Amino acid sequence: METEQFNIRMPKDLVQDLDIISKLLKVNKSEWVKTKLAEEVHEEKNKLLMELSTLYANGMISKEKIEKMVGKDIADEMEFIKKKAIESAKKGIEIGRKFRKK
Amino acid sequence: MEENSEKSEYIFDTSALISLGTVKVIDNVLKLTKIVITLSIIKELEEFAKHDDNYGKASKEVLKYKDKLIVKKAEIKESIEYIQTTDNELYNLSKTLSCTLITDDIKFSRHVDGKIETQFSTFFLTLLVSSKHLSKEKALELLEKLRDIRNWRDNIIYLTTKDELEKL
Repeated sequence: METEQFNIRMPKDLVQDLDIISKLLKVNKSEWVKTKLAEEVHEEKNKLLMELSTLYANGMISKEKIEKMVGKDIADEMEFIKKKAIESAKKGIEIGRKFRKK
Repeated sequence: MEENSEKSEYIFDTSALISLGTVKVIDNVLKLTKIVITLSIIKELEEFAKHDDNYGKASKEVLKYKDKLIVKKAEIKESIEYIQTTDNELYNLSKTLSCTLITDDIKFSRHVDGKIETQFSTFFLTLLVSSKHLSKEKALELLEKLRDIRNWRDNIIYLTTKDELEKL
């Protein structure tokens, strides 16, 4: 996995608390922080993208705006999903008419 | 009701069958269309069915209708990069039979976009409402059951389909 250096300054109290955790759980401090951070980042990213996808699905934000906020890849994916979902729904309605119960 | 020989064929992957199995509409779909799969799909469903989680329960529901599913062999004449062998089989089968592929796998759907016709499994929810085999209210209830509130991709499918159903 590619990695990048990310330095932060932390309050001394917090570093001391991390020391306690590391000793009690018998884990490497950095590894523990990395794991916890990854969980939080994943959770927050999902939450924010849920909100963004709701705005997009409801037509309250454009693809261009999404692209500026989170990049082309996610914007393209959102556009594809919405178009395909509309197509699937409409096609189902059209084909369903041929099967109508008498 | 159409005779079996007159029914349209649709090819399904595991993700679409899991969705339709979750909301227990496989029997309704079978009344109107033929469900075509490959042996790999049966094997995937049987593997999931060993577990007691949501996927396991949905797989068991689908496998109740195993005898009515049409299993076809798929020769991989053209391989799409970055997708699994199971999906390449389905892609090739769809091309050979000129059949629509029903999949909820967005990555797969994007990779084959423009090469074959694909639809999300919600195609069948609206089809069943439009054909009067399911009420709109029931379809909206089933759509809610399918909704994964922690998945932003599914969220777009849910909200968009809900919007189309409410217009009916």
